[in-house]
Amino acid sequence: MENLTIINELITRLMKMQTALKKLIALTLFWGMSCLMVFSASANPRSIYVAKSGNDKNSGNASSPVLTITKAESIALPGDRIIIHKGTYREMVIFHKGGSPGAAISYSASPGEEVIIKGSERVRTWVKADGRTWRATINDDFFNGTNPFKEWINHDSSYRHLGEVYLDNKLLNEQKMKGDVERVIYSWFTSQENGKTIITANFGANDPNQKLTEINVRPSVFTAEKPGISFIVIDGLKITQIASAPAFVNGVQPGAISVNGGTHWVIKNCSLSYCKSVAISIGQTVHDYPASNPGNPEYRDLSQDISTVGHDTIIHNHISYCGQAGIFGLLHGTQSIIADNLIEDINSSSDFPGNEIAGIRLALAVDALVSHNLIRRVHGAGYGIYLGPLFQGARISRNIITETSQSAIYLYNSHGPALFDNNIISGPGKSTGEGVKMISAEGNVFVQNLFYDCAFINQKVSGRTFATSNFLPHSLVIKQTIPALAMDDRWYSNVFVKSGLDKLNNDPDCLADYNAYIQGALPTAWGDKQSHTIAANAGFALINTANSAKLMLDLKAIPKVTCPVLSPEYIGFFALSKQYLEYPNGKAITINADFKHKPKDALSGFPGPFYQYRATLDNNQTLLFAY
Amino acid sequence: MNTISRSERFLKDKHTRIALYVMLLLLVTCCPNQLQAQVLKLDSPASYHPQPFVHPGLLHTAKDLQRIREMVAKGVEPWKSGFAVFKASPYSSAEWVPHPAEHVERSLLAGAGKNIGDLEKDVCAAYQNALMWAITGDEAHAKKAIEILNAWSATLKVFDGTDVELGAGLCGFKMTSAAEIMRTYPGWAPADIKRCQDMFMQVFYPPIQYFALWAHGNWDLACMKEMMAIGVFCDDHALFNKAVDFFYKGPGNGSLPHYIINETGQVQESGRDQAHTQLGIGHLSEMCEIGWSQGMDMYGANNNRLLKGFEYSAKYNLGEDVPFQPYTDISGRFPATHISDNGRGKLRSIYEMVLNHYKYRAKLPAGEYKYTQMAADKLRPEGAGFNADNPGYGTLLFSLQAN
Repeated sequence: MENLTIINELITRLMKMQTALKKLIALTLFWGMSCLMVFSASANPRSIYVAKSGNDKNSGNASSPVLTITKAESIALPGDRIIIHKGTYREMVIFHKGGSPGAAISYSASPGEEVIIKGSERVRTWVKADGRTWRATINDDFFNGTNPFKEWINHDSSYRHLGEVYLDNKLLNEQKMKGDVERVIYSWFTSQENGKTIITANFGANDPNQKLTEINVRPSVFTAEKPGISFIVIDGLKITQIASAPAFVNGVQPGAISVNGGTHWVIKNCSLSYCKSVAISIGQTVHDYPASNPGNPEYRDLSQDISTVGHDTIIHNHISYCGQAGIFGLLHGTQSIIADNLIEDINSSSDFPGNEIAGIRLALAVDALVSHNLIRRVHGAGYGIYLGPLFQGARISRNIITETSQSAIYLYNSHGPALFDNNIISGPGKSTGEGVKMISAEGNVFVQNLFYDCAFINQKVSGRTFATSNFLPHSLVIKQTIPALAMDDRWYSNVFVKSGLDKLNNDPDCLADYNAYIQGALPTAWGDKQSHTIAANAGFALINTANSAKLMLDLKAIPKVTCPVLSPEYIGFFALSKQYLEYPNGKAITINADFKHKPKDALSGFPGPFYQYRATLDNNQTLLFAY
Repeated sequence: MNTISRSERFLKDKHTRIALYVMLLLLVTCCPNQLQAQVLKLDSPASYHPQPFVHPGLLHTAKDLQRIREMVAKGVEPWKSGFAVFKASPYSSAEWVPHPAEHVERSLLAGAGKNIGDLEKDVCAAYQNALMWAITGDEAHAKKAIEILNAWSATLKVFDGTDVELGAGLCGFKMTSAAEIMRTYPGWAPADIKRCQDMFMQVFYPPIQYFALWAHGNWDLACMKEMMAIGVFCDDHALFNKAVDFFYKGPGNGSLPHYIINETGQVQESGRDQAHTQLGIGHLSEMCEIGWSQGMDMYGANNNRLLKGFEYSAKYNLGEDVPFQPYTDISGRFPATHISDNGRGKLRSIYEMVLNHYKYRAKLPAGEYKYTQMAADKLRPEGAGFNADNPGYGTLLFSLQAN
């Protein structure tokens, strides 16, 4: 870095010279040095340390850490590792550059240390107001950007702002009327007076100036400055109290972490909580397609080169108390992996507006793999996993979804194929939502799932012709843009408890067989010739603890149903999309492993996500997920 | 005896006819307007043609080519004026220079493609030079046809794209038709013929093997006619049977009862536009003609359903009204509430083949082919088929009797 300092000084001096020739020399030198910097960085990636005891004038070495992640970002080069020591950081890091293949720039918590990054700022200027309320008067410059107390999540339908108030890390409840604050303990109201933000809050018996009192300030913690900033790793950080603005599938897609059109990001071992809208956005800002039609399909102006989108890995994160979605995005779910995440308490106040609320919400997500996530307690108009339009080649496998107000799985507008295997879905009950809702979504293959108390819907959009594209396999090259219907689904070797497929219509080329229907669940009227229907009580329970989920099931209730090998040939060739069920590399999938990855063998005769219930379940309980 | 006689005897047999009628009735009644699927699982098709294939045996048998040759040589109409138009085509020139490529992509829907234009032109040149040789005996045309076929079979390795089914089906059909004529030319080396067969099986067949069940019927039909043609040229009865089976009862829009949807002759694409409608019924007729070359009467299927489609389309395109039944196609994706006047009046060169069959071979009353006759009369002499879509030049190629 010493060389770089000298070079910078040289450039500075040269730049002060006024002649065009000198400018040219300076630019040439700068170019040369830039190339040298990249080369030297790639050759010698280094660690840059960040600590609360640091100083942004430091070099960033282990013994001389910088103070802010933002500073570390400014000096990081491809391949560099930014190691963050324990403490609470309050900043929004904007990535101006990414890494490169094999040389990602990583932002990691120092091993064993708790690193918290907050989108909030502490407020200690509360003044006692009427009764039990306190009042803070805040200038706009406090927010250093957009003031979330001037922004609503949807001004037309909700009084709630992007701002939040926290007392000792607990969320206070925004009130619609100022007068209610006095009455409701732990609540607040905001207004604008004389160009200043006024927050009136009720902290109960607490003195907010003595306690840890914070308000939302920043809309994000990590966001790419522009599309194309890729190969970023974020590891082991605790991100909270973010004023993330609502995301729209055909619009802006911000998030507490936002790839903003970047690809090949890895986000792992992080916790994200209290994000106003979206926790992790793997989308990018796109526009609406109001005039789309078969000759002018939506999204045709986005990249058709699949290697230039998606490929993100979002693994082993804990996402909770976010208003809109845990993981959200258009396009960059493509060939991405979303696995082992605990996503819970989404839209916990049940009043986030719109219809884009879900644990995981992906659109244009070709070949996405969503595997072994526990998604629970998605409230209001919220879905567990919401895919569409366009999710050809996606695989939804080994997820546990429970307590969603709307459908556990909502599939919208795609030609398929898509695979749903070994999922365990505890339905919201017939009255409030479905286990699976399909609207103009074709070619969905459901095998080896366990559905408890789930209703099912398969419909096409009536009265409207959709121009729905499909792609050449494992690509974003549009092959055909034609209406998507309700057809070509497969239901093999699933277990249905309490509620079955009996309400599903005999839609074209939909097949169901080798399923088990238990405890009042009934089979289809048009398939299920080899399926078993048993009245016995299955004793199903999904036991949720703070960080795990276990399944309880009466083992004797599951009948053996011998099912053919679920090979590509057996499932069928999806002629429209010109592919079997396939991995992203084009290899065809045979579903021959269960939830626990146990391979199918000659003894495997049980439908559902466990090939051998009696051998694998211990005391009628089996651990499904632990974070 | 030739195979037509055998098949005629077969078809005239009382029991056979009863069985066929029952089968067709079942087909019609068992295939109400129920949506069909895109996941393809075809039953093993019947053996429609167990005996060895006739060669050349696609659109033109040896007898057909002999007739054309004699009539042109004698200057008899309508062949004389039909040949004049045909000969004037640049694709009929022995000076044609082929432009083979290793990779052809047809992605016109996506506004892109690779070398597809060169292939389309070259297959027209191969087919028309093959015919020129058969008609004139000029070796230069034979050598040119073989040069084009050899150049592509030595070069082409990959055929893909968003609408590869159309590219492989349409171009493949004309190239296979050229090759089928040229297989009787002693100057085409057996090794080169084998390489050409390999190209059809390995490059052209894979993209069409699943048909195009999701699409308008002309897509299926492009696949079907090329599959039938490859079956003959490569003596592969399984391929031939698969295509013919699809013609009679395939689950897509391209099967005869799904494409010409009722007894009025309304076509699945009538509500889309008239260009595709004529393209599609042209494909159907070409399959029927191949079948005829091989001793089968597909023209007569479903009570001459093909002719009804031609009559309906010709009538509408000649300016008269036709009934239209609001219709959603078999894939369920293309509902149509009224006939489309898009392209109305632009007759395509597809009418002579069908007119001559029903008029002179089937000997139907003139009222049954009235509009087909009018369309053929209006176009005569028929010119080129649009690009590689249909063979065209029906006056020269399919006239059976002199004026």
